[in-house]
Amino acid sequence: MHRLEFKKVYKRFGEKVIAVNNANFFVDEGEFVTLLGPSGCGKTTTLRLIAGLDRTSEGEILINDKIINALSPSERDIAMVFQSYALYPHMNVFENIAIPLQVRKMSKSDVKTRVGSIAQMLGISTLLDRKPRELSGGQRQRVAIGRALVREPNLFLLDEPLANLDAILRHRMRGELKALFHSVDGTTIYVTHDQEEALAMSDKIVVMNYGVIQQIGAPEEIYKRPVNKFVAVFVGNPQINIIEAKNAEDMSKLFSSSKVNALEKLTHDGKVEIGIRPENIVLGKGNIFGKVTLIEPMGANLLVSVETALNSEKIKVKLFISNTVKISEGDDVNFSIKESELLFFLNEKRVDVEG
Amino acid sequence: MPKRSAIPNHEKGYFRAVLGFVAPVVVFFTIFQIYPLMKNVWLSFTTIKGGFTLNNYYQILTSQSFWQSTWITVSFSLISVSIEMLIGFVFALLLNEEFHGRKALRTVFLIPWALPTAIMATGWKFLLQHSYGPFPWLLYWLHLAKSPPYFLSTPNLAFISIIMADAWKTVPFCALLLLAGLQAIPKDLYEAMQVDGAGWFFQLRKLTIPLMIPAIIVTLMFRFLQAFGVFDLIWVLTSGGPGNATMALSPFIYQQTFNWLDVRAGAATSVMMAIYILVLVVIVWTTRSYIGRRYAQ
Repeated sequence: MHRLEFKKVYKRFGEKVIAVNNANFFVDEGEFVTLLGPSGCGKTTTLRLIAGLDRTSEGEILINDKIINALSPSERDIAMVFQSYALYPHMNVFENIAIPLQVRKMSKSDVKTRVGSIAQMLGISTLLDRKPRELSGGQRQRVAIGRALVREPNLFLLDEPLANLDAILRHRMRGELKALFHSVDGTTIYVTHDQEEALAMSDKIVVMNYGVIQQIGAPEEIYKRPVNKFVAVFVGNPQINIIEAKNAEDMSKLFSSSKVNALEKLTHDGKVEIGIRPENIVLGKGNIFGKVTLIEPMGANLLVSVETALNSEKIKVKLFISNTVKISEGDDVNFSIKESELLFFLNEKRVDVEG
Repeated sequence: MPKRSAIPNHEKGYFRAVLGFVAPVVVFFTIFQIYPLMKNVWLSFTTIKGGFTLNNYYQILTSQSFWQSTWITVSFSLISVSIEMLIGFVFALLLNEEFHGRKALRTVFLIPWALPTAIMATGWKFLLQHSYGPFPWLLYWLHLAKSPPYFLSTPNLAFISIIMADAWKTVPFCALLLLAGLQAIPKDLYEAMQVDGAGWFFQLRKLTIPLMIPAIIVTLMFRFLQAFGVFDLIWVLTSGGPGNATMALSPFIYQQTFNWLDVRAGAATSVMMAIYILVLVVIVWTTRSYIGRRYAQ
């Protein structure tokens, strides 16, 4: 198994574009690490730097403490699943999966057994003589994964492998992939823009934006203790409620007096915002009053938008309730906020607020 | 009840408009293509007095010059197209690589193909001339020949000269068509192969060539049909000579028809050539559809 390390890595395209800006991170043996971020954040470029398909402009990439910057993709012993799957259209499934073994000049009978066992594992044994064009999206994806697994590499790179699947299949494959990559014991780096996927699958998440790594941490840490507003907003579905703390009068409508005092002190240093996850707002208890403006049923839960009037402005928050609660748009409601779970941002960076 | 017309009233105007647009092409085609074609076939089956005869065909099929022309045409086509495809493929691979000034080179590269054949053939004639042409003398000065060779008046050398000139002109054309085929291959397939550990030659063998087969067949067909009808290049460079060493079918037909004024023999030879081409097209199309099935994506 491989350890991977990025040391002060930069990737520039031309004069203006910095796709990867001073990336430093470490992936331990057997870890499942996700690079997460919106499109254009540099996560795919990072993956291509690891594969050797793009070259770093600056900095070092190390595998098992050896610098690999100068190695070509074929010398790195890395397997990659492309977002487009990149199946060879003129070869059938067997030939597609066999290519990495043929490159290594493995004997025909060995190739046959290896491809056979991989196909069995992925449930595509009956498709071996089909061409990629005769496969469904999910089947193509399995072939692409089979091609990556077949040579038992030490490092797997997966570039948005679920992005081209429909929602139901995506959910199913998410679980299957997680189980699969745990069982094959390889170090895995997974790129996605889907925060749910990242939270569900990873041991560790690297959140990126505009080429800059925002935060590295376990899924729970990313979700509960985001380092800044970007991470807090990007991770979590439905999105976190953000309220700007403008004046004490407004805040005192929502929070206890000790919090309000602390927040007020903070506003001298810059823009203060408060993040409230929807699940931390409790409906029906408490002394904050508002009106229901929108109800979005989400199966077991309802996502309820509540508008409440502060002294100087009206704010809107979203919260979860069970679908057994009778509620309709226009209802007057009261709610409370779990103050221990609040997130505070000073100039977009998260800060701790006592009180 | 009034009788209903086959064409509804509101469509009559439309029909007339369509007729108006199509008519010029039909007239042009009839006068300049269909009529000469029919006339040619008719000529090939008639005597001077207008009676039916197979004698024109008997005459050419038993003449040595017809079979020699056939042989020259076939060998010229096979050799020149093979060379052009091979060199064209290499150039296409080169031009597909990323390097500084690629766009400029691609443009310059096309110039030989853009030149009218008669003009480039005149240029080659100058280059190959024995008495003052640079090419024979260069070979002599470089000690590659004992004396400046007579390119255009030695049978084998004349044949080679024509192949050289033809290759010079059409390599860019082949390269261009093949380059289009190369660029249609998705980049991520190459990236996948590289990550899988494949080297340059493995990629060429397992990816580039199989995926290029449709483009190769189209290029081959174009080039082969063009080469088969070669006329202007030969006519300017050697006029079919020395002797009949470079007398391909097209110049042979011209010679029969307009130099010897044996119109009926020329007509019969044209019909024979049309049959050759028909056979060729059938062969190409059957292999194409067979390979198409094999390599369809």
